[in-house]
Amino acid sequence: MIAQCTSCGNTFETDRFGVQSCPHCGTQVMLEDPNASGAAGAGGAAAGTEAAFAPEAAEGAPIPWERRSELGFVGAFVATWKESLFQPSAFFGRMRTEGTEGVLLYGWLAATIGGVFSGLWGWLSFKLVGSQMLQNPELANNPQFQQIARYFESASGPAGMIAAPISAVVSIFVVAGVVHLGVMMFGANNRGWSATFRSVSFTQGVQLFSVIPFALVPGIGGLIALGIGIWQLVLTVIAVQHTQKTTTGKAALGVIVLPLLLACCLGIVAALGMAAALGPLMKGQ
Amino acid sequence: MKLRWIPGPRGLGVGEVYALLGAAAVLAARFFPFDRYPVLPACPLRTWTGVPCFSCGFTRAFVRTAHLELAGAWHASPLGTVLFLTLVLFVLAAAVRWATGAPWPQPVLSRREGWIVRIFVIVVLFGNWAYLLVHRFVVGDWS
Repeated sequence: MIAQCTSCGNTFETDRFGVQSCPHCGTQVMLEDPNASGAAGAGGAAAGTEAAFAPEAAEGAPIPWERRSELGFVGAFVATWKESLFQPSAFFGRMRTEGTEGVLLYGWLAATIGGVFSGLWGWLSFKLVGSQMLQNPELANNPQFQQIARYFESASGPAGMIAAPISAVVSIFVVAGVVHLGVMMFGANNRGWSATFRSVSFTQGVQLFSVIPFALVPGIGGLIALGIGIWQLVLTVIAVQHTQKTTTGKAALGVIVLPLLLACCLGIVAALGMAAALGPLMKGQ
Repeated sequence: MKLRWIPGPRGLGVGEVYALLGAAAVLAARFFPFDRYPVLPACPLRTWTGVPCFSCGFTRAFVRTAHLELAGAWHASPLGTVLFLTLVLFVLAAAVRWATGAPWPQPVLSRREGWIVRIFVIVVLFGNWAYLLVHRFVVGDWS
């Protein structure tokens, strides 16, 4: 019979009912036997019959990244990226919460690729826009603008791109540490540190959007970057809610409050600040 | 409060990773020329509004403490100074634990003690912030 995965929408051939993996996206799915339930009438699913089924949401079913040997490295990465971003509740709901083996590798890859491109686009946009802005004496003497200029010269461009693999590891551990502190503060630490670490690492897929040069789009680049930052924040809340088995409110408080209090130390908030700080300066042009 | 003794590490665990990050922060505070290379972006809240955030002054406090300028560090951020000294102790303890395999005490808090710790952390954060605000807007010697 031909089955259609409601997770990725692809069809595949199978000769049995029960829990099985979609060969395209790796989602664990449950194909119910209509004869066993007695709901679908006689005949059931035969060869050529298309059977649609819902993703198996049971906790502990392996996510694609944990089936790399079966799906292949690239296939598992792409399937994990798609699921974690576009079906976060199903993905984090079924992900096991113990163990961190291989988890960092996914987050590191996504954050490194994103960091390299983000550094490149940020540097290019500053070279393009900043050089014009520096011709304006009012802006050239603006200490706020000088501060931003120094930051871009130091932290983005070739130096930022080379440092991306290291800063990716550091940022994942630091963000996981701060988020876990927040989770503990608000009494949501039900599954321990590895659950938080998994949540933070598997939400790094959002960073891959930095491959697209939004920063070079005049006017809306900062807004798009802001939107992506908010998306990652929301994903982290969803991830923590499911992995720590807590309420949305506690997860949101744990993820958002402490990082906001420690605004100086977190790149995501700082990045939002940079975007917002550049806005008025651009208008001044 | 009870203490639970955790066996010494057998490899590179989570505690050791954070100790390495802490060691990197301590070394950076001591040797990295932050004045010449401002790799850390400015605080967005302070940039927009002039109001320091809860952790404003941490970098200066870390750098000054690492150079044993304790009065200057305290002036920049009392909490930052205490955190840096705690970080140094944590790194040293983790190094000893890693080298000797000595067990590690982990406090196990009751529900009530957990709440006391949470309230203490909030009071410390707001106390530090109040110090920064007073020195920024009342005394006027913090920038």
